[in-house]
Order: sequence, then structure tokens, then C-alpha cells
Amino acid sequence: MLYWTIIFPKNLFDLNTFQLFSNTIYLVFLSSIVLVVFSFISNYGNRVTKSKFLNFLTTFSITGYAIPGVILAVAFITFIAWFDNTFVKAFEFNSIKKIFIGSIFGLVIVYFIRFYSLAYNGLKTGYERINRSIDESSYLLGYSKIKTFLGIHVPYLKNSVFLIGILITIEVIKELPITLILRPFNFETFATTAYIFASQDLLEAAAVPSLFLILIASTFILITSKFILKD
Amino acid sequence: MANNFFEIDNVSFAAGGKNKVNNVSLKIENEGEIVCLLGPSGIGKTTMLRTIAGLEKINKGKINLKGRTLSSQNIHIEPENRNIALSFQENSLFPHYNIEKNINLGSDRVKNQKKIETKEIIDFLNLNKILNKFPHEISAGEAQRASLARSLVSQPDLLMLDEPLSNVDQSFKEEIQVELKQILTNSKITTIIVTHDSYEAFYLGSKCGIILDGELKQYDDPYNVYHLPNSVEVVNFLNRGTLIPAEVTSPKSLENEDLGTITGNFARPFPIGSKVKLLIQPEDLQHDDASNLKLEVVDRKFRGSNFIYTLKTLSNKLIPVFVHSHHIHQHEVDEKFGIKRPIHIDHIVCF
Repeated sequence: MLYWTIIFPKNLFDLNTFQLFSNTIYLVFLSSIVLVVFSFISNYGNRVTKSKFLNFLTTFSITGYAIPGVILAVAFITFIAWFDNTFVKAFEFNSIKKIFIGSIFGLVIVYFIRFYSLAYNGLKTGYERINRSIDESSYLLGYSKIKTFLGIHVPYLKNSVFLIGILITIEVIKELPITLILRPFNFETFATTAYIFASQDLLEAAAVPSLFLILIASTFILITSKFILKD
Repeated sequence: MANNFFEIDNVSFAAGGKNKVNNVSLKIENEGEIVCLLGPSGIGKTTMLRTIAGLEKINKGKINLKGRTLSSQNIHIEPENRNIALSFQENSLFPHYNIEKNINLGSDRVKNQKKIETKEIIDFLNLNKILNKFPHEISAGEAQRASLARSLVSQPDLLMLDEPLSNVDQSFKEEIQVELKQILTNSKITTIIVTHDSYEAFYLGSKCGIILDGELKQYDDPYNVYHLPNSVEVVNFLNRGTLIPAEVTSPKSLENEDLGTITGNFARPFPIGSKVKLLIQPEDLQHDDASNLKLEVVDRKFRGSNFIYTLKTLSNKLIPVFVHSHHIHQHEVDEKFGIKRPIHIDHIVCF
């Protein structure tokens, strides 16, 4: 790929690298925020309430990782279409398809279903290292549940969050089927661009976005490895 | 309920849906008193502390502190609003803060004038060398002392310590006990200490509670708990004596087939002719080589300042006898050991 990029430098300059990079990072950023926030809420909720229902809901929600991306994307479109036709139109509201299909919002929802397991379990491992008596000590020192969360859990789990963020980044930037099916019109990432060129047998052109993809993923993997060793 | 600093009124303590200690009533009349709870492992002592701290709820009775109901069937004040500190047995220091920051978190909530200086606590608990270390870098004993320091500097209305010195080195333990008592007394912090060490409880506590078989068996001052136990279970738990059969012969005497006549004051009166179990504690009998009442030595425990001889009677009962370790000679196992007559026990405890 490096060879092809050097031989055909025009491909590098023709590619809208900055736009692809910002699109990719935009998706990564949004997905990471949503995943980390919801993982925190569900982990903390499970810890504080010990609710069996919440526990069941969490167990159910982490099964998304086992489902191939393409099936998830198609199932999501099918569900939205069914919901729209059955309920939304029945009450004569405007169609909701545009909100969910071919939008960043829909894309992030399906990323969420796909990668929630990753974020939830990553944080759960961190939480398991916090003895419950630490929470109780905090309450007894006058900290409320929210203060305990913000003052004790979040600082303690910042390393886990960082690690989860990196793992999500790696997964999202190389995720293809979901992005390809659900992305907004004219919204491309390095992964989709590489796929489009490759599917047209333009392997030399596909080399450049692929190289960027590898570069970004490798950078994050390197950071992760260093981070894990340090931790 | 009125006028007592702290009171538990007919509360059943439960954890994980199971009742642990039932129908407990206990009061601490004055601010600054130290109460110790003794009992075997797993009996529910920690559950009691957790419930008082508000970490567990109750479904009957009341817990009051300074005239305010903290827990009842309908009321549950959250732990953070109780101003009660609980020092856990296990390491509960915040792992991402160093020891100094951990201790200072305790003093952060003190709004009124400080009764205890943080530095004073750090000095007495010998924590100066580990202030910049993190909890994972220190030993269990150091973590326990740091946790104790954090609880002390928070100056709670009620301080509860769960086995506070269980991981502390024996050499340092007595020193800490003395200073801990001094600090608690001077600062007038009302304290409940859970311990399995009866000597620690007897030293630190102005009152001791013995928890056995799911109930508070005895709640009294340490002298009475030791010398006037109110049940066979308490005697067995303290393990400081033996029960031998005897018959009450007068309001101030009884008769045992091996020891003969024993005189003294009955802790509880029994009708003449009653068949009773008489408690013999190591201090009750005195050694006398010249005595004609001789029993066989079956064991000898050296306890530093004293020996505890275990003697076998003719009816195969084992009786402990205390002898000062500076006693002029020692008796070996299987030797005969003289018991001074007439036997007089100041307080006769029978069941």
C-alpha cells in the first residue's frame, strides 16, 4: 500500500483526506461519548440498585457484539420501517425514517448496539476493582451518591475510560458494513472510501485510505499497549 | 428514649434478607462513652455497625442518635446525613488517593471547631512515613491505621470501629490502645468498637456487649461481664472458667464433691438444696503447697505475667487456676497441685 501510494502520489492529493479524517473522528467521538456515558450509567445503576431487571437489561443489551454488523444494520432499517409504517403513519405524524436511516444519529445507535458490550464490560472490569466498602466509606464521609460517583468512581476509572475510548476508536474506524449501509448521503470515512475504490478494482487508489486507516488504528493500538503495560 | 445520647430500641439486624441479631436494645447514656461489642465471627456484629451507619435498613424498632431517629420502620436517614463514621475491617481507603489525601478527606467535612488535630492523629498512629504512599503500597496494618485516622479526624457524632486493630502488630497494639482510648476520651467521641479480643474490649470499653446466638446476651460494664456473666453461653464464649456441679447448702455456701465447701456471696440467690453449676474462674482458687486438697496438673499455660494451670478433679472435671509467674516454683504436668482451703469466692456465680 505504501508502495502504491509512493508510485501514484496523485491518489494522495486527490483524496479529501481532511474531510475523511474529520468524518471518521466525528463518528468515533460521538460513539465513544455515548457508549462511555451509557456504560457508566448502567454499571453504576447495577452497582447501586442491584436491580435484577437492570441486570437482565444489561445482559440482553451486550449481546449486540455477537451479531454481524450487516445483519444489525438491516435489522435496524427493517425495524424503523415497520415502526414508521405501523405506528407513526397510523397517527398521521411525519415519517421518522429520515431521522434514523441515512443519518449520523441512526449510525451512532447501531454502533451503540454493536459495541456496547465492549464499553460495558471494560468499565465493569474497572468497577470490580473498587471494593464496595469504598463506596460505603465515601457515604460515611458525607459524600452523596452523585459525589461518590464523580469524586471517587470517575477519577479512579479514568484509566479504564481511556482504554475503552481507544478500543471503541479502533472498532469504529474499521467498521464497514454498518457505516456503508447507514451513513448519510455523501458522508465517507476512510473505511468506506477504501471499500468503494477496492470494489471498483482501483486497488492503487484504495491504498491511500487504507494506509490512513492502518496508521490511525496502529497509533491507537500502540497507545493502548503502552497504556496497558503502564497500568 | 429520651435523654440518652444513643439508643437502639428493640431492633432486629438483618443482612442479605437474613436476620442476624434479634431484638437488640442498647443505650449509650453519655456523649464520649466507649462501648465494645464482642462475639464470635459471623454472628452479626458488623451487620449491627452497618445498620447503625445506615448501610442496611431495619424493619422494626428504632435507632436514635442525639435525640434524632436515624432508622425505624418508616424512617431511614441516608449514611451521608448521619454524621457517623465507620472504619471497616478491610481496606476501604480510596485507591487513587495517597494516604495523606485519604486522611484529609475525613477532616474535610468537619464544619465546627476541630477537637482533634490531624497531625496529632498521624503522629500517634505512626503514619508519617507513609503519607505520600498509595493504599496498594502499604501493609494491611498500615491501611487499617490510616483508615482509623480518617475516621477519627472526621469527628463524627458516633464513631464505629470494626476490629480496628486486628491487623496491627502485637508490639504496637497495646500502645495504640492506650492512645486511642486517651484521644477518644479527651475528644469526647462516642465510640462503638467491634472486636473479638476480650482484653481489648475490657480495656477500651466502659460497657461491653456480648452477642451470641443471634441476640445481645449481656450488656454491662467489663468487670461484670467477666466476673458476673449472666448465662452459660457468655461463660463459654469468654472461655475463662469452667462449670462444676455443686449443691447450695446455705445463703453463703455450697458444696462440691471434689472441692468441698465453698463460701462467698451469691451473685444471684438460689434456694438451699438447689443443684447448680458453679462457675470457677482461674482467679477463684488459690495455690497452696501445704493444702491437703491436691489435684493433678494436666496442662500449664505460660502467659507472661502468670501461669494458668489446668487441674483434673477426681470426677474428671478440668479446673483452671491462676498462679503468678514469679511464684517460687513451677508444677509439671502429672504433678499434684495444692488448693488453699477453706475456699472462699468473693462472688459466686451459679446457673
